[in-house]
Amino acid sequence: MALIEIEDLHVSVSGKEILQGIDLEINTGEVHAIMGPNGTGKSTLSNVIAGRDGYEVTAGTITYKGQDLLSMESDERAREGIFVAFQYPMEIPGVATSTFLKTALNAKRRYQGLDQIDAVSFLKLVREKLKILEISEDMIKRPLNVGFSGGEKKRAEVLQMSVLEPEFAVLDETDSGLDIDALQVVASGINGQRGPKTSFLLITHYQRVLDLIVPDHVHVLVGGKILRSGGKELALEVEAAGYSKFIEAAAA
Amino acid sequence: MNDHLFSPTYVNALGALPGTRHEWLDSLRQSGRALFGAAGLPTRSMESWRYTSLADLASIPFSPASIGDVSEVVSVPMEVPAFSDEVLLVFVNGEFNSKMSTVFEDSDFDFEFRPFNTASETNISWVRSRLGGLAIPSDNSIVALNSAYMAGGAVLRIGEGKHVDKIVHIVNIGHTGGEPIAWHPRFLFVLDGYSKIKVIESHVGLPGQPYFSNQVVEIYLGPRAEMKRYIDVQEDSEAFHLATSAIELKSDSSYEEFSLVANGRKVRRETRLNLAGERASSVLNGAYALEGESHCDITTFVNHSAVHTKSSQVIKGVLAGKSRGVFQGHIKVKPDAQRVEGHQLHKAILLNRGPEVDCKPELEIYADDVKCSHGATTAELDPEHLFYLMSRGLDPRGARNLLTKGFLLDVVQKVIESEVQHAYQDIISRWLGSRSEAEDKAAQL
Repeated sequence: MALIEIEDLHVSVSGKEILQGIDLEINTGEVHAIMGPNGTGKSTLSNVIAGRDGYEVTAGTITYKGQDLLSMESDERAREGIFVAFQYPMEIPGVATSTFLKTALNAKRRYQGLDQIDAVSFLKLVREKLKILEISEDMIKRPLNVGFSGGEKKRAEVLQMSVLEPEFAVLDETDSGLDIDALQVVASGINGQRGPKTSFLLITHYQRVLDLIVPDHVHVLVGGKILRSGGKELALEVEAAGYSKFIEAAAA
Repeated sequence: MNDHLFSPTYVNALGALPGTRHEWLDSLRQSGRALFGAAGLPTRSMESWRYTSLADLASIPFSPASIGDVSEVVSVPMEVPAFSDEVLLVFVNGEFNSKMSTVFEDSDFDFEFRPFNTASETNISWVRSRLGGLAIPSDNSIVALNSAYMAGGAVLRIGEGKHVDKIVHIVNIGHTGGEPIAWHPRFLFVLDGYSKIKVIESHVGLPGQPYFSNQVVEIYLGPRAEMKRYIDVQEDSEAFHLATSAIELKSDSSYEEFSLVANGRKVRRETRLNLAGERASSVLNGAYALEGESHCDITTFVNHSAVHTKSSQVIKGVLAGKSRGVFQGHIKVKPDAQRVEGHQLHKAILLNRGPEVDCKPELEIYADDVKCSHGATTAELDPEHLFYLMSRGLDPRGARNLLTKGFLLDVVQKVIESEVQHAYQDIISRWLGSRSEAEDKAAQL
């Protein structure tokens, strides 16, 4: 049984059909990448997986660990091990990043029947991860994402992911807007999480990040449909030829 | 018009007020009596009381609190925050309680402290020259009422150049027996030039009959004096807390205030602040959290009377149940007060359908070289923010609580003193906890 199975998923936003029949299977331990031009439904997919309001599933199913994901609330999905790093992370004034993270971690631990973690132990746990992502302790004392640059926000999303240790992480254009140094830091964070128990779905526009986070499978998403799937070489094909080649091929 | 507060019964029960034999004090009380007799309690037809009715206060037959040093020791409610290195001054029903307070001499901590009653009897000159100078009975009949019956409270003076290291913690405890009681304490702070003090004021009540605390505070800040005043109001759900502060700032002086109000039946904190000297500055920040039928009214009048003065104010409130929040912020800039900055912001979050917020910002500007702004928003918790927190595993209540806490902490974090910040965080957490309990109870019905 695959970790996550998406079958014939159709999703509409404000009455307009964006995803027009997505089929996708991701097994535990695999890294998948979805590449596509802008406006093609990439973020729609990650928002539907997260359970955001405003995205209407008109047909199809998503099965996660054998359960019907679409009937689960957002918080339940997260506690069951799903994490979505959003393209535009929210700024939450007054809530220190570390407080938020500790609260989220404890919510998960409570759900799993584990002990709650206190502030001191939490800081110890987080220090390693802060180093890899080049985030200072000072930064996590600040309110969540407030005043963070685009790059800092992306790194903060990856920090959340590394603290919460999800089983399935969707990274929605985590690479966009990052210079090569920032990208390498983020990639280290993600690669550090890679393992037999974790699966990733990287959603990206550019091939560049896939040099650093090498995927097992690549899918080309255009016009709300997956036009082609393949191995990591497919990403290089896309970079060389552009998306129009795939659009033409599909139309033929 | 509260007949009870003015009846012969009340006046007789009052007994002898301290310092009556001193003509200056007696005449202050007499004029207070005359003014209150004529005006009565404020009603909603008065502009600055439009959103706060005292009809319920007027209907309660209050008796006066007993005058004189209360010798019995009552337990300090656990809600009162404790601070390291504090000088504790405890007032029960407005009267100084020496048994519960820190014992000290004037020379110990670099400030002169006298309970109001002692100060009235001994006729201190610096009290005589200042008392009643800033809190004007004709401005507000509540001040007239306090003037009429003033007893209890304290006077504090910090001498020229003195910096008080310790936190002066004034704890006001409301303790009713079998009947509703009222008290009218007067506090006077005089800071001579270049002096500094940090004052914390806690207001709590032990559960019981309704009580009416009608406090007036007058603060004189000399040139380059600095005062920080942190106020937490956690009154009983049957309590009426009316507090009027009148503050005058001389040149280069600064006044920073934060007031945190959690519940209470009716709370009105009115502040009249005059930036009278060049380059004086004030910060009047606050937060309130109300549930049930609590009513909190924060009304401020900030007067820029001199050049280069600065004032700023950020008030944030969260309202649940059927509570009511009122913010009235008046900034006045006099014609000669050039190069002035005055800013004011009020933000409220309604946690359910039911609460109401009334907001009346006013700018009255007569000078032309000024920078003034005001803003007011009332909203619900942002659904996008709620979603984001839930997407990290927080359940709906956890997400709401974290956002609500964050909303208030955003302004609490402007208080530099970390001990005070932590104390306020605890108060807010407790409020959220009791709100969750109330929600659960309601759900079970």
